Amino acid sequence: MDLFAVISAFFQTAVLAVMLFFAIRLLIKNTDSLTAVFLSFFYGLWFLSDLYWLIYDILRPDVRMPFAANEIGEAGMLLMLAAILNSAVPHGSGAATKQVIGAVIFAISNVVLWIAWSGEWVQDIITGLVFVWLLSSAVCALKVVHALSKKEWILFGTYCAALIAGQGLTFFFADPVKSYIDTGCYVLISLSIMYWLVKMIVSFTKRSSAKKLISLSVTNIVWLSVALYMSAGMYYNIFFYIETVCAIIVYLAARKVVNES
Amino acid sequence: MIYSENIFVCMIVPIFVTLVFARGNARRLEFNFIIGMFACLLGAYISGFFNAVSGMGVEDTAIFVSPVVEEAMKFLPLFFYFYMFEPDDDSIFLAAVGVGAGFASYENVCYMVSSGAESLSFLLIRGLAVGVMHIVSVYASVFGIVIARKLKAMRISSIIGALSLSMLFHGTYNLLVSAPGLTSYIGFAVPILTAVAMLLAMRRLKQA
Repeated sequence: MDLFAVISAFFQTAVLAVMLFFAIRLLIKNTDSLTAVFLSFFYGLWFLSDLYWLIYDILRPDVRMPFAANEIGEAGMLLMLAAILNSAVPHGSGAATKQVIGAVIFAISNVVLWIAWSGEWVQDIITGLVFVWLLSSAVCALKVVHALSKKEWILFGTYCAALIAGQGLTFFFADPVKSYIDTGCYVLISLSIMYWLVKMIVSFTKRSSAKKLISLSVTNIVWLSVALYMSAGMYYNIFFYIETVCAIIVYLAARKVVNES
Repeated sequence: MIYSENIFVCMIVPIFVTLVFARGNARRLEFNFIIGMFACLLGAYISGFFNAVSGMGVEDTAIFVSPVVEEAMKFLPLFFYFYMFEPDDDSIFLAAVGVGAGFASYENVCYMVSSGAESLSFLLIRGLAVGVMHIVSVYASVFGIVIARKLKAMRISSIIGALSLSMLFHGTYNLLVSAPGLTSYIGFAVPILTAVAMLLAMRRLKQA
């Protein structure tokens, strides 16, 4: 049993329990808010999903988890994240056609990589379908709130293509080339996480609109999910802690959306 | 091996008879109680099928796959009732309680037949925990339907969110009680504590 991973999971579960409490309190105060409903479901699913993993890791250390209820929970959690975004930043079907096409290609590429890494077809396809929907919703929201300039979109698209290509190449090379490519991918992922984090923090300090804040904070969670699925070891643990911080920021942004609406 | 179909028939016959005499909400509750028992029987068949196909083993199937199957089986009749008859909130919650209670009762009887009924204290704890767990989980999934109707938007997201929440809750309970000792007692306490928390939250929601 990886003690550090258990402590990290315990920490995140505790934070999520507090966020769930706050989300339910927000729902009780705003019973007619769709965003508050989805926020409660989102934290509930994330909390239970983490708790499930934590209990499993304690009860059955070093045994790979088979298909279980937490897979459904994780897919539900991603769906709720998309629902939070779509309820907070409504948009038409053709809001960001080019970006959506790019997001779908990137999401499908990720699913292919997950299957190649884990060999779990059913789970990865179920989660992947929701992931496609979530990424599409995220890029639509970012486009609607003008969170990125045209140059940033092009740069981000190129970056995503480079990341997928890098991860794909690791299957075709042996060490030491493979480890160089792996390290390069980790550098790329870390830089992108820093970029999204800085963008979100700047938006918070500039007191941007609630819609922009929720779009950026949800994008941070989505991007960290991408990073976590691609990572292992020390990098995984670092990204995991950043994700925990972002879980709190999503609540702050959603609360602003609910209060303003 | 137990003859679960025979147990099912023996249990539903007296309830069917009382359906003739019962009226209103009492009849609705009894009918849904039978539906819950039937959902339990079908859920056992489907879990058995998954066990045979995946080769996970009976215990692992019960821990990991059954929560997903059972919650779906409890949810489907309520979903049908909701869309076909458009009942008010109180009626759908009453139906959910009936389905949950029927499911839990039938599961408890089958458990006693297969594992023995010597220890009253253990059966009381298990009976209470399973009963509350099935009612809480089905109540949570119906809560999603009611919210979807109330807010008139994004129905699929609300329904899937609530259903996956109930599956995960059920899965966590099954995982906890799968190991003997302290974890199983924590598992038995979880549904009861959740029910209390849910009642408090519902009361606050009604006041708001």
